Amino acid sequence: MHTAVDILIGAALVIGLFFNTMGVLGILRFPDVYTRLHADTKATTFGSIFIGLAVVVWAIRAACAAAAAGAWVNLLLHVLVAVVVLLVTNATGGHAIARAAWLAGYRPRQAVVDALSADADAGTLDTPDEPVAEVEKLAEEPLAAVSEVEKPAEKASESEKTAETPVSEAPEAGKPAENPQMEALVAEKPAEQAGEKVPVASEVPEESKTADQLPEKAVEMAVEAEKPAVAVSAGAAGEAAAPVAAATSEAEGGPA
Amino acid sequence: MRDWMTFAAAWMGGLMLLSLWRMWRGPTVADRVVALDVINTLVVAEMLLLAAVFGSGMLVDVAIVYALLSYVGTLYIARTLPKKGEAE
Repeated sequence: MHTAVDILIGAALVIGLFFNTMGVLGILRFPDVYTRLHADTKATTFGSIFIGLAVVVWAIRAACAAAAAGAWVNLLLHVLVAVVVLLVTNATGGHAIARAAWLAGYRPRQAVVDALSADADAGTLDTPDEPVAEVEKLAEEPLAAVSEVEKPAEKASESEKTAETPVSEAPEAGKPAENPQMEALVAEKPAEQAGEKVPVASEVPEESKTADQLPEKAVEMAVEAEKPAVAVSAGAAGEAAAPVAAATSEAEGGPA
Repeated sequence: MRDWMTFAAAWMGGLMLLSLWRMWRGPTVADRVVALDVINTLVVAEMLLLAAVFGSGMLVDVAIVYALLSYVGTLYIARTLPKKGEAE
Protein backbone atom coordinates (compact mmCIF):
# COMPACT_ATOMS: atom_id res chain seq x y z
CA MET A 1 0.00 0.00 0.00
CA HIS A 2 2.64 2.43 1.02
CA THR A 3 4.94 1.45 -1.80
CA ALA A 4 2.29 2.18 -4.44
CA VAL A 5 1.65 5.63 -2.95
CA ASP A 6 5.39 6.20 -2.77
CA ILE A 7 5.72 5.35 -6.45
CA LEU A 8 2.89 7.77 -7.25
CA ILE A 9 4.51 10.58 -5.27
CA GLY A 10 7.89 9.79 -6.78
CA ALA A 11 6.49 9.77 -10.32
CA ALA A 12 4.76 13.12 -9.78
CA LEU A 13 7.94 14.59 -8.32
CA VAL A 14 10.06 13.31 -11.20
CA ILE A 15 7.64 14.65 -13.82
CA GLY A 16 7.43 18.00 -12.05
CA LEU A 17 11.19 18.32 -11.70
CA PHE A 18 11.70 17.23 -15.31
CA PHE A 19 9.35 19.86 -16.71
CA ASN A 20 10.65 22.58 -14.41
CA THR A 21 14.17 21.75 -15.51
CA MET A 22 13.13 21.85 -19.14
CA GLY A 23 11.50 25.23 -18.58
CA VAL A 24 14.62 26.69 -16.98
CA LEU A 25 16.81 25.21 -19.72
CA GLY A 26 14.41 26.76 -22.21
CA ILE A 27 14.80 30.27 -20.83
CA LEU A 28 18.56 29.72 -20.77
CA ARG A 29 18.94 28.36 -24.31
CA PHE A 30 16.10 29.79 -26.40
CA PRO A 31 17.06 32.71 -28.65
CA ASP A 32 14.12 35.07 -28.22
CA VAL A 33 11.86 36.70 -25.66
CA TYR A 34 8.82 34.93 -27.06
CA THR A 35 10.38 31.49 -27.18
CA ARG A 36 11.60 31.97 -23.61
CA LEU A 37 8.09 32.93 -22.61
CA HIS A 38 6.91 29.73 -24.24
CA ALA A 39 9.28 27.70 -22.07
CA ASP A 40 8.35 29.73 -19.01
CA THR A 41 4.59 29.64 -19.13
CA LYS A 42 4.09 26.14 -20.47
CA ALA A 43 6.83 23.95 -19.00
CA THR A 44 7.16 25.63 -15.63
CA THR A 45 3.43 25.75 -15.02
CA PHE A 46 3.02 22.11 -15.97
CA GLY A 47 5.91 21.08 -13.74
CA SER A 48 4.56 23.08 -10.82
CA ILE A 49 1.16 21.42 -11.24
CA PHE A 50 2.84 18.03 -10.82
CA ILE A 51 4.81 19.26 -7.82
CA GLY A 52 1.49 20.31 -6.30
CA LEU A 53 0.04 16.91 -7.20
CA ALA A 54 2.87 15.19 -5.36
CA VAL A 55 2.20 17.34 -2.31
CA VAL A 56 -1.53 16.52 -2.54
CA VAL A 57 -0.84 12.78 -2.59
CA TRP A 58 1.60 13.21 0.27
CA ALA A 59 -1.04 15.06 2.27
CA ILE A 60 -3.66 12.40 1.55
CA ARG A 61 -1.38 9.65 2.79
CA ALA A 62 -0.46 11.66 5.87
CA ALA A 63 -4.13 12.38 6.56
CA CYS A 64 -4.96 8.68 6.33
CA ALA A 65 -2.09 7.68 8.60
CA ALA A 66 -1.86 10.42 11.24
CA ALA A 67 -4.30 11.23 13.99
CA ALA A 68 -4.41 14.96 13.16
CA ALA A 69 -6.08 14.55 9.77
CA GLY A 70 -7.75 17.97 9.77
CA ALA A 71 -4.48 19.89 9.37
CA TRP A 72 -3.42 17.74 6.40
CA VAL A 73 -6.81 18.11 4.70
CA ASN A 74 -6.52 21.86 5.23
CA LEU A 75 -3.06 21.80 3.63
CA LEU A 76 -4.39 19.72 0.74
CA LEU A 77 -7.20 22.12 -0.05
CA HIS A 78 -4.86 25.08 0.14
CA VAL A 79 -2.43 23.36 -2.20
CA LEU A 80 -5.26 22.95 -4.70
CA VAL A 81 -6.08 26.66 -4.36
CA ALA A 82 -2.41 27.52 -4.88
CA VAL A 83 -2.26 25.38 -8.02
CA VAL A 84 -5.36 27.05 -9.45
CA VAL A 85 -3.93 30.50 -8.66
CA LEU A 86 -0.68 29.46 -10.33
CA LEU A 87 -2.54 28.34 -13.45
CA VAL A 88 -4.44 31.62 -13.81
CA THR A 89 -1.57 33.96 -12.97
CA ASN A 90 1.03 32.24 -15.14
CA ALA A 91 -1.16 32.23 -18.22
CA THR A 92 -2.30 35.84 -17.96
CA GLY A 93 1.10 37.07 -16.78
CA GLY A 94 2.85 35.44 -19.73
CA HIS A 95 0.29 36.96 -22.08
CA ALA A 96 0.88 40.39 -20.56
CA ILE A 97 4.66 40.06 -20.90
CA ALA A 98 4.39 38.98 -24.54
CA ARG A 99 2.06 41.84 -25.42
CA ALA A 100 4.17 44.37 -23.56
CA ALA A 101 7.32 43.10 -25.27
CA TRP A 102 5.67 43.48 -28.68
CA LEU A 103 4.42 46.97 -27.87
CA ALA A 104 7.89 47.89 -26.59
CA GLY A 105 9.29 47.16 -30.04
CA TYR A 106 10.68 43.64 -29.71
CA ARG A 107 9.84 41.49 -32.73
CA PRO A 108 10.04 37.70 -33.02
CA ARG A 109 12.94 36.64 -35.19
CA GLN A 110 11.36 33.93 -37.28
CA ALA A 111 7.65 34.42 -36.81
CA VAL A 112 5.26 32.36 -38.92
CA VAL A 113 2.24 34.18 -37.51
CA ASP A 114 2.50 37.68 -36.05
CA ALA A 115 -1.09 38.64 -35.36
CA LEU A 116 -0.24 41.92 -33.66
CA SER A 117 1.70 43.09 -36.72
CA ALA A 118 -1.29 42.18 -38.88
CA ASP A 119 -3.57 44.16 -36.57
CA ALA A 120 -1.20 47.10 -36.62
CA ASP A 121 -1.05 47.05 -40.42
CA ALA A 122 -4.83 46.84 -40.64
CA GLY A 123 -5.20 49.65 -38.12
CA THR A 124 -7.23 47.53 -35.71
CA LEU A 125 -4.65 47.21 -32.94
CA ASP A 126 -6.57 47.87 -29.76
CA THR A 127 -4.43 49.51 -27.09
CA PRO A 128 -6.95 51.22 -24.83
CA ASP A 129 -4.81 51.91 -21.80
CA GLU A 130 -1.15 51.75 -22.61
CA PRO A 131 0.56 54.18 -20.25
CA VAL A 132 3.64 54.52 -22.44
CA ALA A 133 1.50 55.48 -25.41
CA GLU A 134 -0.45 57.98 -23.30
CA VAL A 135 2.72 59.64 -22.08
CA GLU A 136 4.03 59.87 -25.61
CA LYS A 137 0.79 61.40 -26.82
CA LEU A 138 0.91 63.99 -24.04
CA ALA A 139 4.52 64.77 -24.83
CA GLU A 140 3.89 64.87 -28.55
CA GLU A 141 0.82 67.10 -28.65
CA PRO A 142 2.51 70.54 -28.81
CA LEU A 143 5.20 69.25 -31.14
CA ALA A 144 2.60 67.61 -33.37
CA ALA A 145 0.76 70.93 -33.54
CA VAL A 146 3.92 72.63 -34.77
CA SER A 147 4.54 69.95 -37.35
CA GLU A 148 0.96 70.19 -38.58
CA VAL A 149 1.47 73.88 -39.20
CA GLU A 150 4.47 73.07 -41.32
CA LYS A 151 2.99 70.20 -43.30
CA PRO A 152 -0.77 70.16 -42.71
CA ALA A 153 -1.78 67.78 -45.48
CA GLU A 154 0.82 65.10 -44.85
CA LYS A 155 0.86 65.22 -41.08
CA ALA A 156 -2.92 64.94 -40.86
CA SER A 157 -2.90 61.54 -42.47
CA GLU A 158 0.12 60.40 -40.50
CA SER A 159 -1.32 61.47 -37.17
CA GLU A 160 -4.32 59.25 -37.79
CA LYS A 161 -2.05 56.28 -38.31
CA THR A 162 0.01 57.02 -35.25
CA ALA A 163 -3.08 57.40 -33.12
CA GLU A 164 -4.06 53.84 -33.95
CA THR A 165 -0.61 52.30 -33.87
CA PRO A 166 1.35 53.70 -30.96
CA VAL A 167 4.38 51.53 -31.71
CA SER A 168 4.99 53.29 -34.98
CA GLU A 169 4.99 56.57 -33.09
CA ALA A 170 8.44 55.80 -31.79
CA PRO A 171 10.41 56.68 -34.94
CA GLU A 172 8.14 59.61 -35.72
CA ALA A 173 8.26 60.95 -32.21
CA GLY A 174 11.96 61.53 -32.68
CA LYS A 175 11.44 63.84 -35.63
CA PRO A 176 9.70 66.73 -33.88
CA ALA A 177 11.99 66.25 -30.90
CA GLU A 178 14.95 67.06 -33.14
CA ASN A 179 13.49 70.36 -34.23
CA PRO A 180 14.38 72.31 -31.06
CA GLN A 181 17.89 70.97 -31.34
CA MET A 182 18.10 72.11 -34.93
CA GLU A 183 16.79 75.51 -33.94
CA ALA A 184 19.35 75.65 -31.17
CA LEU A 185 22.11 74.83 -33.67
CA VAL A 186 20.85 77.52 -36.01
CA ALA A 187 20.78 79.96 -33.11
CA GLU A 188 24.35 79.08 -32.23
CA LYS A 189 25.67 79.72 -35.70
CA PRO A 190 25.73 83.56 -35.46
CA ALA A 191 27.61 83.18 -32.19
CA GLU A 192 30.17 81.00 -33.91
CA GLN A 193 30.44 83.43 -36.77
CA ALA A 194 31.02 86.20 -34.29
CA GLY A 195 33.67 84.05 -32.67
CA GLU A 196 35.42 83.62 -36.01
CA LYS A 197 35.78 87.36 -36.26
CA VAL A 198 37.77 87.43 -33.05
CA PRO A 199 41.23 87.49 -34.71
CA VAL A 200 40.03 90.30 -36.91
CA ALA A 201 39.21 92.40 -33.86
CA SER A 202 42.40 91.34 -32.11
CA GLU A 203 44.48 92.93 -34.86
CA VAL A 204 44.06 96.09 -32.89
CA PRO A 205 47.27 96.26 -30.78
CA GLU A 206 45.68 97.23 -27.47
CA GLU A 207 43.21 94.37 -27.42
CA SER A 208 45.65 91.78 -28.70
CA LYS A 209 47.61 92.00 -25.42
CA THR A 210 44.54 91.21 -23.37
CA ALA A 211 43.65 88.45 -25.77
CA ASP A 212 47.05 86.85 -25.22
CA GLN A 213 46.94 87.26 -21.47
CA LEU A 214 43.41 85.99 -20.96
CA PRO A 215 42.65 83.57 -23.75
CA GLU A 216 39.43 82.32 -22.13
CA LYS A 217 37.76 85.66 -21.68
CA ALA A 218 39.26 87.07 -24.86
CA VAL A 219 36.53 85.58 -27.00
CA GLU A 220 33.77 87.13 -24.93
CA MET A 221 35.51 90.47 -24.72
CA ALA A 222 36.26 90.51 -28.41
CA VAL A 223 32.70 89.68 -29.33
CA GLU A 224 31.36 92.33 -27.00
CA ALA A 225 33.88 94.82 -28.28
CA GLU A 226 33.10 94.07 -31.88
CA LYS A 227 29.36 94.72 -31.73
CA PRO A 228 29.56 98.47 -30.97
CA ALA A 229 32.49 98.74 -33.37
CA VAL A 230 30.45 97.39 -36.25
CA ALA A 231 27.55 99.58 -35.25
CA VAL A 232 29.76 102.64 -35.21
CA SER A 233 31.31 101.76 -38.52
CA ALA A 234 27.90 101.26 -40.07
CA GLY A 235 26.58 104.50 -38.58
CA ALA A 236 29.58 106.73 -39.27
CA ALA A 237 30.45 105.37 -42.67
CA GLY A 238 33.28 107.27 -44.30
CA GLU A 239 34.34 109.35 -41.35
CA ALA A 240 36.81 106.72 -39.95
CA ALA A 241 36.03 107.66 -36.39
CA ALA A 242 38.11 105.22 -34.30
CA PRO A 243 41.00 102.93 -35.18
CA VAL A 244 39.02 99.94 -33.90
CA ALA A 245 36.13 100.74 -36.19
CA ALA A 246 38.49 101.30 -39.10
CA ALA A 247 40.18 97.95 -38.57
CA THR A 248 36.97 95.97 -38.42
CA SER A 249 35.37 97.78 -41.32
CA GLU A 250 38.39 97.24 -43.53
CA ALA A 251 38.63 93.58 -42.61
CA GLU A 252 34.99 92.97 -43.40
CA GLY A 253 35.04 95.01 -46.58
CA GLY A 254 32.08 96.81 -45.07
CA PRO A 255 30.28 100.01 -45.92
CA ALA A 256 33.40 102.11 -45.40
CA MET B 1 10.01 9.62 0.99
CA ARG B 2 10.74 12.79 2.88
CA ASP B 3 14.26 12.65 1.50
CA TRP B 4 12.87 12.66 -2.04
CA MET B 5 10.89 15.80 -1.41
CA THR B 6 13.87 17.44 0.25
CA PHE B 7 15.97 16.53 -2.78
CA ALA B 8 13.27 17.95 -5.06
CA ALA B 9 13.27 21.19 -3.04
CA ALA B 10 17.05 21.45 -3.35
CA TRP B 11 16.84 20.75 -7.09
CA MET B 12 14.31 23.55 -7.50
CA GLY B 13 16.64 25.87 -5.62
CA GLY B 14 19.31 25.05 -8.18
CA LEU B 15 16.85 25.82 -10.95
CA MET B 16 16.21 29.22 -9.38
CA LEU B 17 19.94 29.95 -9.43
CA LEU B 18 20.06 28.99 -13.12
CA SER B 19 17.18 31.37 -13.78
CA LEU B 20 19.10 34.08 -11.99
CA TRP B 21 21.78 33.68 -14.66
CA ARG B 22 19.25 34.59 -17.32
CA MET B 23 18.07 37.52 -15.21
CA TRP B 24 21.67 38.71 -14.91
CA ARG B 25 22.66 38.19 -18.54
CA GLY B 26 19.31 38.68 -20.30
CA PRO B 27 19.99 41.03 -23.18
CA THR B 28 16.66 42.84 -22.90
CA VAL B 29 14.38 43.91 -20.09
CA ALA B 30 11.71 41.50 -21.30
CA ASP B 31 14.12 38.57 -20.84
CA ARG B 32 14.70 39.61 -17.26
CA VAL B 33 10.97 39.78 -16.66
CA VAL B 34 10.61 36.26 -18.06
CA ALA B 35 13.34 35.04 -15.72
CA LEU B 36 11.58 36.74 -12.81
CA ASP B 37 8.34 35.01 -13.77
CA VAL B 38 10.08 31.62 -13.81
CA ILE B 39 11.60 32.27 -10.41
CA ASN B 40 8.21 33.26 -8.99
CA THR B 41 6.63 30.05 -10.23
CA LEU B 42 9.49 27.99 -8.84
CA VAL B 43 9.25 29.73 -5.48
CA VAL B 44 5.55 28.87 -5.23
CA ALA B 45 6.23 25.21 -6.07
CA GLU B 46 9.13 25.20 -3.62
CA MET B 47 6.87 26.53 -0.87
CA LEU B 48 4.38 23.72 -1.55
CA LEU B 49 7.18 21.16 -1.30
CA LEU B 50 8.53 22.61 1.94
CA ALA B 51 5.02 22.77 3.39
CA ALA B 52 4.73 19.01 2.78
CA VAL B 53 8.18 18.36 4.21
CA PHE B 54 7.68 20.42 7.35
CA GLY B 55 3.97 19.66 7.66
CA SER B 56 3.00 23.33 8.09
CA GLY B 57 -0.08 24.58 6.29
CA MET B 58 0.99 28.17 6.83
CA LEU B 59 3.57 27.89 4.06
CA VAL B 60 0.84 27.04 1.57
CA ASP B 61 -1.04 30.20 2.50
CA VAL B 62 2.17 32.14 2.04
CA ALA B 63 2.56 30.49 -1.37
CA ILE B 64 -0.93 31.58 -2.44
CA VAL B 65 -0.31 35.18 -1.39
CA TYR B 66 3.13 35.11 -3.03
CA ALA B 67 1.64 33.88 -6.30
CA LEU B 68 -0.95 36.66 -6.33
CA LEU B 69 1.54 39.39 -5.42
CA SER B 70 4.10 38.19 -7.96
CA TYR B 71 1.34 38.27 -10.56
CA VAL B 72 0.65 41.90 -9.69
CA GLY B 73 4.35 42.66 -9.91
CA THR B 74 4.66 40.98 -13.29
CA LEU B 75 1.71 42.94 -14.64
CA TYR B 76 3.15 46.18 -13.35
CA ILE B 77 6.52 45.55 -14.97
CA ALA B 78 4.74 44.59 -18.19
CA ARG B 79 2.81 47.87 -18.17
CA THR B 80 5.90 49.97 -17.64
CA LEU B 81 8.20 47.99 -19.91
CA PRO B 82 10.54 50.51 -21.54
CA LYS B 83 10.77 50.82 -25.29
CA LYS B 84 13.36 48.81 -27.18
CA GLY B 85 16.72 50.54 -27.00
CA GLU B 86 15.87 52.85 -24.11
CA ALA B 87 17.08 50.63 -21.27
CA GLU B 88 18.83 47.34 -21.87
